[in-house]
Amino acid sequence: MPVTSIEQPTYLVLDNCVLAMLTEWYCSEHYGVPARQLLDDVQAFLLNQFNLLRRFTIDHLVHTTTLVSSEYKPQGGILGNRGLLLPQLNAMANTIRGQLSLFDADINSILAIKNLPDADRRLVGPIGLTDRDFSLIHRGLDLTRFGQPVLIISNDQDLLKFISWVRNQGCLKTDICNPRLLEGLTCLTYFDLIHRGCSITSEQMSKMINFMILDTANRMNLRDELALSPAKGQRILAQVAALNQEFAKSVAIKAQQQEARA
Amino acid sequence: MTNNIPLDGFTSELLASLSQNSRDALFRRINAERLIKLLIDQLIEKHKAENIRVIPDQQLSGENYADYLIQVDDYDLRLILLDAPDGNLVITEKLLREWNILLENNSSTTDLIVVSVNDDLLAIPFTMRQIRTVLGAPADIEKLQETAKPLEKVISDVIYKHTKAWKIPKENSSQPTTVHRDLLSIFSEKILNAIDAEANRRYRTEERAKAALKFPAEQEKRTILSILQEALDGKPADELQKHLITLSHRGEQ
Repeated sequence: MPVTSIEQPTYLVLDNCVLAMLTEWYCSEHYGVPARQLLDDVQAFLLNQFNLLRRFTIDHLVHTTTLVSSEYKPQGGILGNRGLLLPQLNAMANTIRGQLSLFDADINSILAIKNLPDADRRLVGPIGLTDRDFSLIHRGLDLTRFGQPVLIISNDQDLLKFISWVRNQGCLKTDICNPRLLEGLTCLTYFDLIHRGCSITSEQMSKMINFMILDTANRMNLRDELALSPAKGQRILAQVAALNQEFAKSVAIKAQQQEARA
Repeated sequence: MTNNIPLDGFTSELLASLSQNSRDALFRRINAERLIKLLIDQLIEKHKAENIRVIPDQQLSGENYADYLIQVDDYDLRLILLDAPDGNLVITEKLLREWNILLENNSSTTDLIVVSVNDDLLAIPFTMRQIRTVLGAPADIEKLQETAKPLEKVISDVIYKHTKAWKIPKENSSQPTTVHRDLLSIFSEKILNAIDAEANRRYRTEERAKAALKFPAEQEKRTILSILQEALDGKPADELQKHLITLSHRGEQ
C-alpha cells in the first residue's frame, strides 16, 4: 500500500524556487489574460496555495527566511514581459511575502553549517549552495526544537541532498536541536501527496507536471548556464513517459481515497 | 527568478512514494537515494573516474531489475535498496533466489550490492558464486548481516577488485637501464635530425632565411641532449623546466 497522502502535519519551510515555479506555471497557463488581470489572478492563486499549505502544517504557518523571501521577484519571469509597472509587481511580491513567517538567519550559524566537517566541497564550496540555501537549513534546524518533523520544500536538488546529509550529522544534535527531524521534498512531490488526499485536482497536478516537462525541454534549447546537454536532455525526456505512467498510479490512489470517503 | 525544476529528483521521489507504505519508509528511501547519489558523485570525483555512470535500473531489465545500475568500464554493478527500519538488513532465501536470477539474466553485472535503506547505508556485495554458496547452506543466511560494511567501502572494494594491476616481475629490474639507453639513443637521433633539418630549411623570403642562419643549432643540440639525460636520470620536472626556458626561440640568439 503506497503512501496515500500527507499523513502527519509538519513544520513547513519554503524555498523561493517553489514560489517562482507556482508563479511561472500559473502565468504560462493563463498567458492570454490581460496583464493587470493576470497579476491579480496569480496573486489570488498564490494566496490560495498558501491556505492549502497551512492546512498541513503544525503551526498553520509557512516559514522561510528574509534572505530567501527577498529573492522572490516576479519581474524576472513571465510577468516581467507583460508591460506591468515595477511598483505593481513589487506590491504583489510584498503581498506574497506577507504570507510567510520570516526568520532572520544568523550569519554565524550559517557559517557553522557551511563549515561542518566532511561536508561535500561541491555543495559548500564557491559554486555550491548559497547563504540563502543555508539560511533555510538554519531555520529548519531551529524549528526542530519543538520536537516535531520539519519539512523543507525546495526544487534545488543540491539543497535536498545536503538536507539528507546534514540530518545525519551527530555534531548538530543538542538538547534543543535534532537534525534527524529535518526532511526535504521537491515541490511537486509535496503537491502530489496533497493531491492524493483530494485537496488538489488531478487536472492541476497533471498540468504542473506537464509544465515541468515543457520547462525541461525549453532549457535543452537554451544556451545559458541552465541549459542541459542534449544527452542529459534526452535521458530526462526518456523518463517523462515513465513519469506519466507513475502519475497515473497516483491518480488511481486519489480515486480510491474518494471512493473510501463516499 | 530561477526556475530550476528537478525532473530526476521528482521522478525518484514519486516512485518512492508509490512503493513505500508509510511516511517514515518514504523519507528513509528518499534520503538513502540522495545519499547514494552524493556518495557515488564523491567516488567519481575522488577517483577522477569519468567512466562511472549511475542510472536507475527499472527501465532496462524488465521484471528482474535492481534499483540502480552503476556502469564501470566494461562491467556493471547493481544496487538493491532494502528497507531497514531497525538498521538490520533482513535477507531471505527467496530474495537470494531472485537476485541469483537477476545476475543470471545480466551477464555484464559482476556484483550485486544490497544496501540498507536507512541513514547508515550499510551494504553487502554478492557475486553469483557467493549467492549460490549461501543458498547451498541456508543456515548461513542469518549470518550475512554481520558482513555488512559502509556502502562507500563496499563500492571501492568492488571497483578495486576489478581494476587490473600491472605487475612488473623483479627479474626484469635491470631492464630500465637498457630502456634508458635505448630511449636516449633513439631520441637523440631523432632530435638531432630534426634540428639539422630545421637548420637546413630553405625559405622563399630573405628575412626568414636570415633568421634561420641565426638559429643556434649546435647549442640547441647540446642543451636538449643534456636536458634529456637529466630527465632520464630522474631529475624533477620543475628543475628541467628552468633549463627548457633557456632555449632560444627560432631566430633569436
